[in-house]
Amino acid sequence: MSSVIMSSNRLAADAKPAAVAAAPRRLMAGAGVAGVVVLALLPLVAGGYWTYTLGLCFANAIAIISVSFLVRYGGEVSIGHGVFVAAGAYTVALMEKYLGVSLLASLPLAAVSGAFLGLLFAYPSRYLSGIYLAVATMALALALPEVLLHFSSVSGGYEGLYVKLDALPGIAKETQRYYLPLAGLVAVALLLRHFRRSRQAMALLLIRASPHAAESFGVRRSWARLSCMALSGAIAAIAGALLSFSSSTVSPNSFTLWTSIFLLVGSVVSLYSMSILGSLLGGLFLTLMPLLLAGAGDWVPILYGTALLAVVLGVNALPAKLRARLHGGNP
Amino acid sequence: MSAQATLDRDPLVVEDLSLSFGGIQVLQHIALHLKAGEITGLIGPNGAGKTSFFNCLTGLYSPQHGSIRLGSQRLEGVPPTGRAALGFSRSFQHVALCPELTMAENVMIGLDRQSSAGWLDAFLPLPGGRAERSRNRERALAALDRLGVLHVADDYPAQLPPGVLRLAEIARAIAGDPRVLLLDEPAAGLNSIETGDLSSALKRLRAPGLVLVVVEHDMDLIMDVCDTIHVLNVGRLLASGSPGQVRSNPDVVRVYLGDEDA
Repeated sequence: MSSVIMSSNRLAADAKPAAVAAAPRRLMAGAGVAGVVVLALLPLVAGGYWTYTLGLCFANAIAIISVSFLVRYGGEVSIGHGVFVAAGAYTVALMEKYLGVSLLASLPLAAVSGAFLGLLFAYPSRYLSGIYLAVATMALALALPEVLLHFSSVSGGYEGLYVKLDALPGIAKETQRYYLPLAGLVAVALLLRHFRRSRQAMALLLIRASPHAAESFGVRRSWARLSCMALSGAIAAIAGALLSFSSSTVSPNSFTLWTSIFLLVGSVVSLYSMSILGSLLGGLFLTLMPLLLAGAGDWVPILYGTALLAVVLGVNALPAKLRARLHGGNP
Repeated sequence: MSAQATLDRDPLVVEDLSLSFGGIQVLQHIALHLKAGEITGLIGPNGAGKTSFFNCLTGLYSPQHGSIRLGSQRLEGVPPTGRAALGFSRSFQHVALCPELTMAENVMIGLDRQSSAGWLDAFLPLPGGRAERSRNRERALAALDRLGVLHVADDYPAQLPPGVLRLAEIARAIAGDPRVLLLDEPAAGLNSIETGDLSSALKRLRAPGLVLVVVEHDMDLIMDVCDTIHVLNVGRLLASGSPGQVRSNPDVVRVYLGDEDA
């Protein structure tokens, strides 16, 4: 049976909506580039405190993307993603401590370690879903600080490890702490934007929506789960690597259960977005809100909850098209 | 003629197939010879076991008894993904499209088993991956065009009426040039004009190497397009034959078609 009976020219001409939709898409792409340029120029006018904070915010935005990736492509919620972030952070710190190499050399290995850890967790839990998988990820997050303290001779115990080496020698540390996480965020967002159009992404999205249909077209459920967790773990580990570089230190206190919960909160605030703009909203909430509320004493949890509600309800009240844009261009 | 061409004319043979859930017998001793090159209809009242039969063919259900063969290839133990690789394809009673994908992208999933783009192609704009994606999109557009819904290629499912979604689902099923095509109630939700278009499209799908089976309640459509019709009733095969033979079978009239004079 031969199904290709049309010439490509006629098909391209008939599928006109794509061309019609291209104009606003180009406009949004232009706005996106302009936004990145503004962020790139920001250190020229902002002080050291803000560049430091925004550097952390960019790394947090990548970590938030890793949680959103699991939600969007796997249909699952994680409250243990701090573990994968920690894998990336400790890989960078340990490679500096034992091998004397800087972030640029250790970053790829950090991503691999996150992917490996994701696979290691996904295989035994591949038949869990929903609340059961979420609780399993929570167990990871609860166990992590104890594991790090148990191996304190390697992990540095309570005090943790320092990340001091310059990634780009000759450039001011403050500058590196800002631009490397920004470059990481832009790169991750662009890679995921391309990924969304791949056959693997389409298969993952279909198996989330209709597992039986996907299996009937040759997509295996176990493949989907393992792929999702590995990729999500790798993205989280990249975030951890950049976070350790920007904050210059890693310790068990940075990766508690609350870290994982706040990553999920950031993902919700960003509407599970994988775009730069959406993830930055989550990153800003995650990084700045505690700083803004620092002087509120006992009122912090209440104000934090109120701010969370205000952001989520406010973002959901936005027009559908704007929300779709925050999502990364899909409804 | 090549060996592949000979192989591609293999019939789908079902022998003594029985399926039960707990104590409930869903299918009992079904034996069918589904020929390539024909359009076969499978009809029967609700609960007759038609969709369960499809699920057995595609491997979603594992029958307790009997066998299924595609030519000489026995399918026991072959999972749904393996059967997809053998050329099985289907549409579903309830539309199973992904709401986050455009219609063209949904159809492109029907080509996944024939695609080879790897993980590097997924993340980087490498030439091989781009070329394959472009080819797949072209084939998906051609499949949508065969069903007369090319104009919705870049729309999302939520923006479209059920009839169009059903046609797009059939386009996904045919995009990969399957050897066995199973359509589960393809006319459900279609208006009379769309059903007429579907009827023409189904006739055009008829191909020498294709085993095409249609489950449907629209008797006008079934009688119009099918060469052979099998009738199921409470899990048993009630009758088989040409549309004329089935229409005049008193048992079929009694349990399913109904007597217009009654």
